Amino acid sequence: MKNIVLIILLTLFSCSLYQDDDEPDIFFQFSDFEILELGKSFSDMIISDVQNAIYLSDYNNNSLLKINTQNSLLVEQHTFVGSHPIALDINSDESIIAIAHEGESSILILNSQDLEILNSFSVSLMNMNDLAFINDTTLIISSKTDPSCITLNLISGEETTQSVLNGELAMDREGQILYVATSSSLKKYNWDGLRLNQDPNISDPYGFVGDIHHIVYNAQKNIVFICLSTEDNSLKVEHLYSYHGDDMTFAGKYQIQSPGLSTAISQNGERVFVAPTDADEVGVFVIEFSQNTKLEKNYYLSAGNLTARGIALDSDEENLYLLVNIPGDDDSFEPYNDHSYDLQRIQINN
Amino acid sequence: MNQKVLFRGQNPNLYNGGKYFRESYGLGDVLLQTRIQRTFFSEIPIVLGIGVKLSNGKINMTDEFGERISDNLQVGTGTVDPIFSIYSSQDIKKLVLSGGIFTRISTGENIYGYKYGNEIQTLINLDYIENHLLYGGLQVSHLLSTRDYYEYGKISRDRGGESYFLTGKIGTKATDNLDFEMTLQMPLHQNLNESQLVSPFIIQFGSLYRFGT
Repeated sequence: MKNIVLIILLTLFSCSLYQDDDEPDIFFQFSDFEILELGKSFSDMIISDVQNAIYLSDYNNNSLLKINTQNSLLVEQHTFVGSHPIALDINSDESIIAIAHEGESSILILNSQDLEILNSFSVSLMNMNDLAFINDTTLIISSKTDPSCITLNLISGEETTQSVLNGELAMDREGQILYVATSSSLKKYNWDGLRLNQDPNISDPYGFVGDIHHIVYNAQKNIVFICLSTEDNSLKVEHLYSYHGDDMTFAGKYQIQSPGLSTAISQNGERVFVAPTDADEVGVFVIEFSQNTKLEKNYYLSAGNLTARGIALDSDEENLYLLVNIPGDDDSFEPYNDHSYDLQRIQINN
Repeated sequence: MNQKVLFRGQNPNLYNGGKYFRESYGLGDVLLQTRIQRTFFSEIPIVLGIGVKLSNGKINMTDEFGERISDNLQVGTGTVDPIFSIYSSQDIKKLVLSGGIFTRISTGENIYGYKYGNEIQTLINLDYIENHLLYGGLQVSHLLSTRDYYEYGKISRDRGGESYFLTGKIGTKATDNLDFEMTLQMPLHQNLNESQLVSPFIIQFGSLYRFGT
């Protein structure tokens, strides 16, 4: 009898009752992320370390938002601008912001501190898609429908048509060099104070007609990064492309298995953050590459789908800011509800 | 850093952002156990315990907003479960060396579909009895618990795992039947599933009353 009791007890104490091989499904909720709920459709995003702020152009509500990033994310300023703001740029001392509009032929100049509108210029272009400060007094402006870009002098208001193909613009302000990602290749133009002259160096063509999502120039490495996809999706583009700024040769591709939507580069050019179009099984990850090895270093889970021009890195390289469209928000038939973006902050690995 | 960090269970859509106290109190589940003492291997006394954990503890405590608080914060478990134990001790002059294994086996879900994991605890005690009034001791213990399940079979995260503890104890015998003691428990090693809050140490004050001695 004693042995039977002992055997029963030993069986209970030693059998598989205490083995635990089950794993829960790990999923993340909205509250697992640091999100500033905005619910708007943004066309462009710039970051200012001087102002501790992010500026967002709200395409559907014709306004510009200033988001304070110093502590908790909060909307600090909001101002109405023209019809459908499409692109932003900030000058070298980060004191003024220029806005191009898709819905009207005007350029607005605002004070970056309080978003006061300082000046407004009518230009000849329709359907503008991008602009950039060449220097503190001159803007280069591109239009989707006009093949030539124009420059605008902010002091005289004088507009000059330039022999520059339209596309997405990135400026090397120190070298006075403009890079334009056109639909077929990357082009380089040198500023002589009045005109932009095409450089003899042109990149090899992409090999397809491209939709340009984002172009970024890194001065330290003198490299241009382009996020693009094919217009008709006939060819799957799976990379972020980069080109040497001096001779426009191909500097490397960063394989993300999905067309790149936007990119942010650390100031020393060593860290490359890419926002892909597609999600994997868990979600959408921003991928950090090493510029030296062109290999992945870190993955950062975003709260939703990402968008073109929708990523920014602060100069301290502590936080990454993303525009995210959280699919769970798309639960009604209200206008514009299907593309409502929020701002997410991610503390990055250092 | 002055960043706003929300933990799971907190989010802006909850009352007060989820940041409020949840309290549960009352009589917990009662354990009924019968013990059989036998001597095995000629001289070692072994106490075998077989019993049940009743389901009398409340499992419907609510927070200040009337929402039922989570199962693992409830006073009771809501199920009748078998419990087993095996215990032995040996006197060595003023020292008492003892050891035991205790287990609770979960038989099913409570009315809310929550099933607690199985638990097994192994411990070794070395007590020192200075005199009739004062005693002290050290205990090394191992606690293993399997995962919980919620909503009739979904695997719960942040539950289950194993821990090793070192516990110091000091106590006094107020009467022949009544002891008072204080314990200080420190984790030596913990391997818990996912992210669980752990304490660097636990101090407990307790009393023990022996009926019929």
